[in-house]
Amino acid sequence: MRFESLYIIRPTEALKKRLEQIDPDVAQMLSEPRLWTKSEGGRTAWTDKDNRAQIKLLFLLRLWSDYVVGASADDRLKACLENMLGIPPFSEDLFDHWWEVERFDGVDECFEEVEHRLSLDQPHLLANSPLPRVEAWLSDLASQEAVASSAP
Amino acid sequence: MPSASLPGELPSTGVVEFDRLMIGTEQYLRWVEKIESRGFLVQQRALTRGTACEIADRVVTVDPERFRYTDLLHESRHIRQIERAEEQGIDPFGEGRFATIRRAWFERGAYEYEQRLGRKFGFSRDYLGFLEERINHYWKRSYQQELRFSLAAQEHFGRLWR
Repeated sequence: MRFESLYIIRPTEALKKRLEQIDPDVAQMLSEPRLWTKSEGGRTAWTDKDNRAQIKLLFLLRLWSDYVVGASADDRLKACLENMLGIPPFSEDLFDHWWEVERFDGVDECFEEVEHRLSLDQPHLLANSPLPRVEAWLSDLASQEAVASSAP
Repeated sequence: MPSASLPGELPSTGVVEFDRLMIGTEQYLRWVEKIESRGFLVQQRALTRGTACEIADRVVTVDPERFRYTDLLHESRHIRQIERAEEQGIDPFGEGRFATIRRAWFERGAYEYEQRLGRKFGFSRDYLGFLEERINHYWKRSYQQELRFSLAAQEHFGRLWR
């Protein structure tokens, strides 16, 4: 059966160190984590290693395609990437030098779904909040609880 | 013998009957007719190397060059899992709580089913190893722990046939 997998891509220590010496706008572009979704599964022999390798290679191609070949008039990022990536072909080793990728294998939750499931009988367990908007949200939950408990 | 012995492909079971390609056989036609009568759509197209079949929603996509009898049995198990989940009022393709674990649960069930077939019909040691690897691939430790520690998870998966 098909399902969506989540991968988070982060800079390595080597990239962080490199970014300390470059333009802050470019550094921000390259240091922010990236979240990728990927459709996986089915009756397949594909392993975690295979899926991870695909992410790494496509990530490099995406950088090259969008920010080097397809660079805008502001080509500061292009210059930095050309220097970091070197000349194609790009490999997994190159990715591993500058980035790391983690597949999310934990239990995922949707806030709204959890809120819907728990709000009617649980909000009194939560302390008041000094943040006015969060406090108003807690009050709304408490009033829903009161209505629910007074219902016949 | 299909492409099972090529690098990257699904491994051979070691039993000719189970490695037999299905497309063009009477058995396959009957299978398609049967599951389409139950609200599934079967389509054929080439899939990526190492993949014989995919199910998304109620669409079953089969790779004609790869789809063997053992794959048909695996997918049949999924079809029944989907139907039985729906009978329990659970949307097998839905999102929300337990959705990810549920898909892993179904894969675990289908591969465990193959393990039972393998023991009965003498699948190769390599293939049995592949099945074990697949179960570990899908049935993550975090899912096992959720099931161990959450009453709600135990209740949900207690209702869900695999």
